[in-house]
Amino acid sequence: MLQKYTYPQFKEVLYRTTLANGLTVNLLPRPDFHKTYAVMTTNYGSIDTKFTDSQEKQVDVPAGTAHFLEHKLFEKEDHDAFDVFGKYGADVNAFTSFTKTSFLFSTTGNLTKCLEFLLDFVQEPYFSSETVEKEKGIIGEEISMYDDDPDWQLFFGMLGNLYPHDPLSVDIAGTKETIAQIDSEILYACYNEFYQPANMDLFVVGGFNLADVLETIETNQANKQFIERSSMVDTTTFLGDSGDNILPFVEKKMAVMRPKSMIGIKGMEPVPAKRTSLKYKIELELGLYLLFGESSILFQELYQKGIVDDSFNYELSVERGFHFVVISGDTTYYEKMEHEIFSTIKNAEQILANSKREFELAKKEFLGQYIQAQNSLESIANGYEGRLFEHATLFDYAEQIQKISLSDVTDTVALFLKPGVISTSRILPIT
Amino acid sequence: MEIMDGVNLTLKPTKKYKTNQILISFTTNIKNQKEITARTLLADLLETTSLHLPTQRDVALKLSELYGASFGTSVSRYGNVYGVNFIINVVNDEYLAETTEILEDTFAFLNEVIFSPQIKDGEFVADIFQIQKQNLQAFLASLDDNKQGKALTRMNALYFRDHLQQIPTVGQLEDLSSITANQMAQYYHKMITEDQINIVVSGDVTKQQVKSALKIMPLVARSHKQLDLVYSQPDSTVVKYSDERENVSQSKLNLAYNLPVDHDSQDRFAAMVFNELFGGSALSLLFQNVREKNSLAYYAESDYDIFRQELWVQTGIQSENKEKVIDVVGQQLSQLRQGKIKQEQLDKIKASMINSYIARSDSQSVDLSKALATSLTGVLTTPKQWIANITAVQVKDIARIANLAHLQAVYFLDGRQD
Repeated sequence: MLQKYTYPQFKEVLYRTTLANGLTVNLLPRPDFHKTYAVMTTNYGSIDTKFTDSQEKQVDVPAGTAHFLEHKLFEKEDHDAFDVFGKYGADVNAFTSFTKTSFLFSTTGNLTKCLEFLLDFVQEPYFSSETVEKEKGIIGEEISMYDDDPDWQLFFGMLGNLYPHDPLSVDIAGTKETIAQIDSEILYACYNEFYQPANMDLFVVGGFNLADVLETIETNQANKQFIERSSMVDTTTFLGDSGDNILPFVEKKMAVMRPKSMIGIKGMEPVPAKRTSLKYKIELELGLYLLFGESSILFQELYQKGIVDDSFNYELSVERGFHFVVISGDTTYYEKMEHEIFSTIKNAEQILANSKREFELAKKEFLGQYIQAQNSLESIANGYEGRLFEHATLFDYAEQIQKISLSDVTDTVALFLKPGVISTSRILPIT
Repeated sequence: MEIMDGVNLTLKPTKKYKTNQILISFTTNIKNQKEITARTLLADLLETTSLHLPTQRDVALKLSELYGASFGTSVSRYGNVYGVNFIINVVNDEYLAETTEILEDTFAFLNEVIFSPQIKDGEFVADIFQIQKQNLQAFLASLDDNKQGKALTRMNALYFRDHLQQIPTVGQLEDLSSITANQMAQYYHKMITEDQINIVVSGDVTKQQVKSALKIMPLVARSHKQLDLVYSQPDSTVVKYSDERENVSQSKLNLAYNLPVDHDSQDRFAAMVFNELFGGSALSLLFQNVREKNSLAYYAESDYDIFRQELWVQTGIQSENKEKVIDVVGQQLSQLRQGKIKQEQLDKIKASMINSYIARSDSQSVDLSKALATSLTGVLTTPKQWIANITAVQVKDIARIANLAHLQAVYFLDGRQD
């Protein structure tokens, strides 16, 4: 049944349904827009390298398989998805993260054909040894490009420290060695395991007709057979086997002019279940903003002293099975920056307690940012995280933020920081 | 509409977005190369502090008060025209639980940062100046850390004969060190009093509202100047080559071509289709042949700057494949020159361009930059005209454009290990 969710403050109505085959569908009509953006997401990413298949067999696949699979779904026996979308005048793309693989298009015409083709090309795999071998050259170049990207290397240096024994520490694309082991059999095995409709969702947003789009999707799905699976994909594992047994420090030399440094903090508890997870995430975001954001005292002091510039940044990642925070900057005085970050972490509760005025302003800031993001069809659809935050959208974020108190934020930040599992990653110039 | 000599206002009323967006752009021709870098420093100085918001934190807190308004300054280049831009995006209070005077407050903020800089006794306040100068120095010095960007900068330095055009839009390190706080105040006054000003406002606003909000700004008339826009240089018969070794995993091969097509000519539509077909999209010859068929690169693309009449190709490859990639790129251009283009592929390219064009009209910032471009170039193309002109491009038109493109420079960042 089609559920209707209304957000009067933002003048939005969202429709959601789960089809008979288990596929979750979200539809958000925006009649003023010429464009429609659709994204189909599988709850499967680079960290899902170990699983038990339908024959109860333990399977262990090479790093980079999810990303490889994403590339290869575009190529069919006698056609290429880029070409077909090209014929319809639509733009198509895809991306793979740690926990998700998404396929998307945007179009201003031929919407029915585009939607049908999106569902078909994702749900009808064709892998051959010839096309798999050819892809290794292209992805090999993609990996080389990231090898030379100092920010990417800084970030993965950190992940290698915080999650030394987990697939999270390996590049999403894998390495040249791991992708060399991938063959069509492995791709089919992962495809059959993870690309089940019940493990996927479709989000459509833009200037479309609700009834037409729903009918297109329902008809297309009703006409397809899927391999029956007795159990759902097991994606509930909490990562971090290493616990607090992390590597505290890593340093790498690269062809850069200016050193880069990053401090990482590992979340040691699984995030709370369902919508409480959204509250938890927003509280952490707010707390980090007050401690490390552009209006924080820390940033102001470091900036005034010329220790950091606006490359100073922090990022919270909350995904299925893990969460962590990184704080980073490009600076010659990286030791001073690290020292001040550590001191802010240590005094976090005290700082937050004294941030009453800043907290009220931060809530305004976040609300305004969530509203600004509603201009972008891509932000609306890509901001949807499926089961992770119990189907929350940008509109739920905007509603939730208005209800949060400073003491909630202080408590959540204290809980997150308490175990103190912290590491440092640096990229230094070759001297 | 011209609200006074040299100050132009364009209003784009719409209820489609949940925000109001304002762009104020200062444009001029530049003769002295140092001024390119100086204007970047100026954009940084005006973005981060002002007289009544004396620290970066004061500015940040003020923007939070304006419901997280997104504000930034930038520099831009359109051929020979250089711009310093102030852009702010702020929520429409219809979507807030309380009523506010956010639009007036936003104009007041812009007035503050643009017209009340921290200048005392004819120079920017020393500590503010030092911080921004040091930050810009670090930024310019680390531009080469991005290897794709580095290869592009080096290619342009090789391709352009004009000193100003050789310099990146954001300026260069060697011009920064000699700039003083006193000179910066002079550059500021020159910009404020002499530059052409374009103001563009998009959102749920009326002409009356905007005109009354603008009254607080001490805008003064300046002589209306027709800016010299297009940079062009004649073909050289000698192709310049430059190779540089660096310890990188992926080598970068860039090729620059002269492409003399006027920005206001009918041929500009054929040039756009030509670029898209050559290397501008995933349906292009470069993507299909360098990447998909020969597996030589992750990215292989072309781009085109109509105001500088330059076409260029960027690739990320393995060092040993350099000659092969040069061959494959050359073959694709030669196919286009001979008009060996499948009608089906041309149709796809055009359909995809038209789709992107219409899709871009769903973006407020695109609306702003289009309005600015119209104001600067004096060329107004309606969506209907644009689509009709793209649709009309034929194989023979593309072949004609392809024959105008002449290779002038090849830059190679060589990651070979030995």
